[in-house]
Amino acid sequence: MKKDLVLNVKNLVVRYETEDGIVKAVNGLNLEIERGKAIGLVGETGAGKTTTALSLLRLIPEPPGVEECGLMELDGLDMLSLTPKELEKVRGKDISMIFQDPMTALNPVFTVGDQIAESIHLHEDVSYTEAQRRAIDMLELVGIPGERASDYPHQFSGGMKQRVVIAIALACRPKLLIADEPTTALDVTIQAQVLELMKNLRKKYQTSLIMITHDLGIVAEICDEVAVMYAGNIVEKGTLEDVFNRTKHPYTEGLFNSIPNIYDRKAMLTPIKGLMPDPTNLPEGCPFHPRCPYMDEDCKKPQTDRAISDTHFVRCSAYDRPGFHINRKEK
Amino acid sequence: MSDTILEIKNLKKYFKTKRGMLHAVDGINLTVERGKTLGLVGESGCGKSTVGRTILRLIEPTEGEILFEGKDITKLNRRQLKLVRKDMQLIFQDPYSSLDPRKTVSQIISEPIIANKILKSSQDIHNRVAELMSTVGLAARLFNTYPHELDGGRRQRIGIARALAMEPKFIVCDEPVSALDVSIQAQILNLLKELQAEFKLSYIFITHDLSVVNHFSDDIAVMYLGKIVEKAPAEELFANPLHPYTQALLSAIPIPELGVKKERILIKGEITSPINPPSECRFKKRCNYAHDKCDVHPELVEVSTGHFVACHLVGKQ
Repeated sequence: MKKDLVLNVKNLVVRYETEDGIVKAVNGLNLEIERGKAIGLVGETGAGKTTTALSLLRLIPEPPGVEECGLMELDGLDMLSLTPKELEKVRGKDISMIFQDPMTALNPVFTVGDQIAESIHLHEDVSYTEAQRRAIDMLELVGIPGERASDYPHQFSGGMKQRVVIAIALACRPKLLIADEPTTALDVTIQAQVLELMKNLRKKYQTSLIMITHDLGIVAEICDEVAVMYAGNIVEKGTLEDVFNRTKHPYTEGLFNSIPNIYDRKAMLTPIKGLMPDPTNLPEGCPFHPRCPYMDEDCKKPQTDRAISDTHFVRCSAYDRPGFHINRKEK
Repeated sequence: MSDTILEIKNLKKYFKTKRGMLHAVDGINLTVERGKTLGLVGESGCGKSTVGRTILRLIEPTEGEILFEGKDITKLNRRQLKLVRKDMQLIFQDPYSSLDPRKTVSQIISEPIIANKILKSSQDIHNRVAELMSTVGLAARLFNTYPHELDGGRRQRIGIARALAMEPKFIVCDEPVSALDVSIQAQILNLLKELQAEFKLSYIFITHDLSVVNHFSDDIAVMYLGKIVEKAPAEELFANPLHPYTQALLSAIPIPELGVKKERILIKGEITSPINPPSECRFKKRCNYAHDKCDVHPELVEVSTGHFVACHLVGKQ
C-alpha cells in the first residue's frame, strides 16, 4: 500500500561554508511523514534539528549555507523547483513554523491582531477587514480574548505570546506545522497549557506536525513517531513504542539513561561520555562511535539504515554482529 | 540531634519599583542540614534566585535572619563577611556569562585563592589549580585556554572548580544545569553528587526542573510568588503533594515513558504580579479550589513529620 505522505525528503544535505571550515549540519537525511501524524525530532544542541526545519521551509541563508537535496516534496509539490516568489506562497500557507522564542518571533511594532491578519490576507483571497475578523477568531481559538487583538506583543506574557505565534502558524490551516522547541522558553505549568492547546488544535485540523525538542517527555505526550538525530542524521526512527520500549541505537539508550527518573530517585544517572563531535570535523563512519560503549572497527565504516520492523529503523552497524543487543531492556 | 548548617528565619527582600514594592521574597523560613541538599523549586519570577543571592548577602535582605553555623550573617561587617564567604559559595546558572572572557581557565580558578591570600607562592597556586581541575574533571591541557574555546559543560566545571577553590562548606547552586544538554546535564549532576560525598558539602539547589530536583535533593521547598507553599522530604513531596500548586506542578512534568496515564491538573492563568500583592493567598487567582477562607494568606503548618504546607484546605482536619 502506498503511504499518504505529507512530506517526503530524500538525502538532504546542508552545510555552511565558513572561513573556519565547512560545518556539516545535515548529512543525507531521509524523512517521510504521513498525513495527520506527529513526529518528534529529538536531539541535543548541534544535532541539526533546527537546520533541518529551516531547510524544509527553504530558509537556509545562502551563502554561507549550501543546501543539496535529492527530493523534497510537500504533499506532492516539488519544493526544490519553486522560485522564491512561489515559495512565499507556500510558506505560511501549506507549511508553517512555530519558533522557539516567542519573545523575538513577534514584531514589536504591530498589534498581534495585525500580525495574524497579515498571514491570512497574504495567502487567502479575502479583504483585510475579513482577515482581521478571522484573526480575532484565531485568537479566541488559542484562548486569548478577542478584544486583545489590538494589543502589542509587549503587553502579553511569554505563554500568551507563544499562543499568538501558534495562532499565526495555524491561521491558514497548514498541511504541515513545524514546531521548534515551542515550550522551551516557558515555565512548566504554562508549558502544560501550551502542549494541551497544540494537541487539541492538531486533532481539530488534522495538521501533520514535526515537533523539534530535546525533551523526550514532550515527545511521549504529543507525538506518534519519533526520530532521534545525532550529528546531522537520523540514527533511529520508529513509533513511540519502538523507540521508547524497544530502543535500539546506543545514542538513544544514552539519552534515556541521562534523564533523571522521576519514579526512582535513587537511580544513578549514566551520562554519555564525551561531547558532541565538532560538525566541521565529524568522525569517520558512525559519528557517535567515539562516545559509544559498543564501538568496534566496523563503526568507522559508512553506516546504513537497517530495518528492525516496518515502522522502526536504526543506523548502527553493531547489529551485524551476531546476538548484539544494547543493555537497556525492552519493555 | 540534627546538624543544621544554615537556618533562615523570616527572610524578606523587597525591591522598590516605580509601581510599588516588589515582594520578591516574603517571609520565608528554611533550614539546610550539613551534608544534605535542599531543593528550592519554583517557576520564573517566584523569587528563588533572590533567596540564593540574599543568603550570600550579594543582595541585602530587607528583614530576617540568616544563621550560618549559628552566626547571623546579616549583622556582620564587610571584613567578617569576607571570612564567612569562604565557606559559602555560589555556582551560577549561565556558564557563558559567569566567566570572565579575558581570563584563562587557570586565572579564573585561582582568582579566589589569590584574592583571599590563601596561598602565596605561584608554584603552590599552580598546583592547587591543577588539583581543582582534576577534581572537577577538566583535562590539564585546558590550563591556559579561554572560556570561549570550551563548551557549556566544561565551562560549568570551571564554575564549580572556582567555587571549590575556597573549600566551602556550603554552596548555592542556582540552576547549574538548565543551560546544558541532557547528556552533559547528567555528567554535571553526577559530579556535584560526588563532590558532596567527598567534601561533605551542603547545597541549596535552585531549579525549575522537578525531575532534576527530585533526583538531587533530600528536602524540597516549593516557592510561589515569594512564599514557601510546601516543604517536605523529596520522597514524601513526590508521593504525597498536598498544596494545589505543587500538585499542578508535579502533574505538568512530561514523563519520558509510555503508558503512564496520569491526570493532568491544568491551572488557569499565569503567575500574578509580586508588586504590592494583596493579603490573600498568593495562589488564589489560579487555584482550582479557591474559596472565601483564601482571602487570608495561610501559614505554613506541619501536617506530618517534616511535611509543611501553606493551604487552608489541608491541615488539621
